[in-house]
Amino acid sequence: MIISSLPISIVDLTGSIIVAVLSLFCLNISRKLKKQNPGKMIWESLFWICLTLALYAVFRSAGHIFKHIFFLSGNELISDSINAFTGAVNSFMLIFIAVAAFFFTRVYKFSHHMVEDKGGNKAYSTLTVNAGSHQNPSDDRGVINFSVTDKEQKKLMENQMAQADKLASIGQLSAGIAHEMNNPLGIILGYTQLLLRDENPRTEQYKDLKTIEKHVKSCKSIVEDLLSFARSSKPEREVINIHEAIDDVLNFIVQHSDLAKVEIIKDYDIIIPPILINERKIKQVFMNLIMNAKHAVGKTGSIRVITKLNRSKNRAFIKVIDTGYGIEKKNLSRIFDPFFTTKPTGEGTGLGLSVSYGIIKNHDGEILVESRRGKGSTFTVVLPVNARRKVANQ
Amino acid sequence: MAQFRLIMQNRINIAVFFLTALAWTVISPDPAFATCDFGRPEGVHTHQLAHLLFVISMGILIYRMGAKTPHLSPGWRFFQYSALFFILWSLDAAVVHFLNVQCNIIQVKAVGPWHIKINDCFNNNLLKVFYYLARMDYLLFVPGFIFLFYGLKRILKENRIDLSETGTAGHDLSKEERV
Repeated sequence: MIISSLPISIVDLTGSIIVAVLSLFCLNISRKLKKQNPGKMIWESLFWICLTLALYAVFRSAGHIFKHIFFLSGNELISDSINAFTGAVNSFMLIFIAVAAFFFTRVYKFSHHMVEDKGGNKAYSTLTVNAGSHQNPSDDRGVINFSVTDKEQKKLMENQMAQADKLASIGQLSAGIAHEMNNPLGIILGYTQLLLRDENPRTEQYKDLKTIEKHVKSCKSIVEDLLSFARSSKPEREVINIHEAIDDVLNFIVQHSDLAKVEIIKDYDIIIPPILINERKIKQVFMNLIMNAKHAVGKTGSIRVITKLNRSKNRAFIKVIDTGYGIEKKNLSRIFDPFFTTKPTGEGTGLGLSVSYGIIKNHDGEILVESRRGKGSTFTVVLPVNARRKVANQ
Repeated sequence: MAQFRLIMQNRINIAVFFLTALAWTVISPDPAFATCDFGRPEGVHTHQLAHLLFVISMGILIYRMGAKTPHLSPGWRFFQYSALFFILWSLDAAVVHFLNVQCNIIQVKAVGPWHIKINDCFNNNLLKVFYYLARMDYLLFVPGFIFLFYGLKRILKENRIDLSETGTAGHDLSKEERV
């Protein structure tokens, strides 16, 4: 049977070129994936599959192209020797691809188990269904009850409760230590300031004393934050206009910080009535939230403070919205944890939001956060507006 | 106790056998060659085994991915399709090697630069046509790479979205996020 070899040659040559180019593109993408997720085995092993495939594809394609060139130019002997050599290398590369694929399969399996263990990306959850029946005494009709329990959800809640217990114990312990440390720190600060008074500001000793003073002040601020976090006593409250409190905080921040290129937008709902709150504490909350927003925004951006009254729920909503970097999803559940901070060492204690959370909870309110990376964050403080009546009744 | 004695006796017998064999090779050695000599088809068999190993590895990859994740994302689904096309291509290539080189059922001879003559042992035209079509293995290999390329592109996109939602290890968190 004599037949044209042209279709085979065309498919071989064009296929060789396409495969070689595509394999290199694939290698480049897998390299990007590896770079995006450094240290993750799944991307590392995927890269190895692509690398071995690319080597195979390029080698095979080159072999086929040269074979055709030599065959068409009449050098059949060279074509045959190329055939033998590329065959050997191709066998070798095929084994390599197979090994990389085996390895990738194992890594994929383990990484999947790890995702399952972390509770992420689960396609299914385990449900327990309990069923029972009884006779309704009023109309003698049979009633069947079903109760469905999500086991995973239950486990998650148990973990959260255990975490809350642990945090409470840490809180009590640290409050005790903080209380014991507050007095000696006050004494150290007092004596340092006394020594500073008689020291010449140009001397080396003056600088040393200043360093001591700075660090003692930093320690005291941490200790005070801790104490206010752990303090559970009911705050002294008075009826105040929430907008005035926010304005005081904003004025203070504008005067003391560099906010030249940061736009501050206020959108107040003037129908919010005066609320029964501890002014000092609530100002501390807004100070924390606005300072965080300022840090997140950096030098340019905007901070919006919006208030709104929900009449049906008798609640005032105060939102602090920034256009900063936002908070990562994985950190959202931890931002109210004591000592959790993403600021560099020495810049943040990780207590600002914990303290704010405690203050708002003491006011029977809520503090909520919404954030998307790169889009900014929204902190919402929800305060009851009928507290005034409640206290009046008491 | 008797059973223990029996087991020990067996072990001693095995040890004595191997030690005797070792002693015999030392006392009376035969001429030995450093490397074994294989016939010419060794290369073809190795290549065919490599294709077989490749098919098995890709098959396991498809099966394990499907079994572990019933609802695969589009990116990984394309990746699975590419593995399927690679299996088909490898089988096709292995069949061509089997017919042409391994068993010499098909003989191909060039008749001028643009024609080939295909002969087969059974004088079966259907087999010849099958061989002719199977020679164009790139028709299976290229789609495999196209699926792999699109799959990886989708995976990269999915990964970027995932990272933007959950954060990335490659950024300086202290500068970007202040809590």
